[in-house]
Amino acid sequence: MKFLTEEGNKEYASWVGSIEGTDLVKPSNLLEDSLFSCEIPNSPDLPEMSFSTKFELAEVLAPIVEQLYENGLDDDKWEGVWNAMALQYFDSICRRDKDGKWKPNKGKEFYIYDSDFTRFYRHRIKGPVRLYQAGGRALEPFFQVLPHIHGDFEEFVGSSQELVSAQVILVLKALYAKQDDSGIVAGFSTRKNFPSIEKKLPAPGTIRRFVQVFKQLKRTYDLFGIDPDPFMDLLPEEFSRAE
Amino acid sequence: MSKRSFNYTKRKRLGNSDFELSLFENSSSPSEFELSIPEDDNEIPDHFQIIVDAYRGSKVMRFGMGTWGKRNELKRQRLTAFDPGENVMFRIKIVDDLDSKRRIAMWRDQIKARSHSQDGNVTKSILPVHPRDLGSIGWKLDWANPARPELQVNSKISEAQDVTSIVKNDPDFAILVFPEVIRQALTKLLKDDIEDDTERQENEWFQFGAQLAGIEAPSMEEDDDAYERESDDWVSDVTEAFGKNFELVKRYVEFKSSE
Repeated sequence: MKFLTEEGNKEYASWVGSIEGTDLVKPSNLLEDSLFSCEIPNSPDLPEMSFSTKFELAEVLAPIVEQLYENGLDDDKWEGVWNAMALQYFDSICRRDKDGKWKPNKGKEFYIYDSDFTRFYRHRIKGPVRLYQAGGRALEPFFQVLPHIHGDFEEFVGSSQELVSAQVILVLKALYAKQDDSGIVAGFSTRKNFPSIEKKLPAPGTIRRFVQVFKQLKRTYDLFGIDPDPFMDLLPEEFSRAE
Repeated sequence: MSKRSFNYTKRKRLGNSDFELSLFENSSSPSEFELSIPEDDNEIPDHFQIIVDAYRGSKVMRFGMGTWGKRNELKRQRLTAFDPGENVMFRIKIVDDLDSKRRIAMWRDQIKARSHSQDGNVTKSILPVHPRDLGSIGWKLDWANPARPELQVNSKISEAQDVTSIVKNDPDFAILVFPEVIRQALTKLLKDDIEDDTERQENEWFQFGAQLAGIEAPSMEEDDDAYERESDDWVSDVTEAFGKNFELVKRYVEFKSSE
């Protein structure tokens, strides 16, 4: 596989910035021209495919990324790797409207890798892959959506490194996944109105509340190292296992 | 009236003298850190684990450093998840690993390590500088770490990575921007609810301000209006003392006349 060079990253970013409402052809030539991309030695090939769900994308690409880490890819190449993968699978990670025009998510960080901690987790390849590396199959119920969809789960969990752990994801699965792992229970990220409060607040037991409670608990317990069952015991009554 | 705090979990705080955290910075490769914990009177069982989190905002790297009983054998660690020069903070947790809930027995958060640069100099700037693409804005204060701001400078204006470089290469920027940085930083810190008095006293910005103004920052009062007035006055004193000590106006006039 290849990574995009500095020139390749610029060309790719320029193209992404111009596609909204158009049917501009994907610049696949960037992955063929040695000015814009370079081969990564001893790297696996990226499969020619499109992804029907975010889980499929993560499941297929995570082992490839893992191999690049194991091969010791230089840190400064990763921006080009993420962008190259995004370019390769752009049809999966960016939707089109009914007329076939591109309709990208709002925010270039979904498609152009930005290492800033406030943005990197939104990248449509890096985001799901990173979560899969932590949670594996436990993510399946949360990722039964199209790959371009970022969603509440990725926003609340992916945005905080401390939540991106196998234990936390298992707890979240116990709380919010349907029994057959086909998806998540209704209302898992609801906000509601409370008396005398103008703004809507997270409803009890939702993932937004989980994040708030997590921040409190982590000051007393080393949550990263806790097994899921004792973790569940720490949660207040508003949290209960999904039926 | 000082705030009361309740410590139901008996979690103890690691004091400044209980540890030393050093950061070894490299311009072209990930930084490394070393933790040392001297022998002391803390009655912590030997099997308790020492955990260090290195973080910037929500990005965290976690290091299991070893057990309390072997705290004289802690190894240097590499911060591979952070860019060279990135403003990293640290958290130390001493954890009961035999407790299934992994209760934290001692901890310290928002630690700024003593930085050792490549040339061997030791620095501990209270204002890290980070050049970034800020679009149309020249600079801003970033509060990813709530107790310690970072000055982000538009990389189109300057690639400086520390205050000293800015003063040397962009004195007009320093003269016009630094007083406002100080004002904004102290005003926010005074408004924030810092957990306890010790943490407040050990905050570098409050120490910096007290040194300049010649008086400690005001304590939080029951009377919000009185506290706000005293805070505003203190911040003004600090900013004015900064300008006077560094002869900012004189330097600016000299700089402009030399252009």
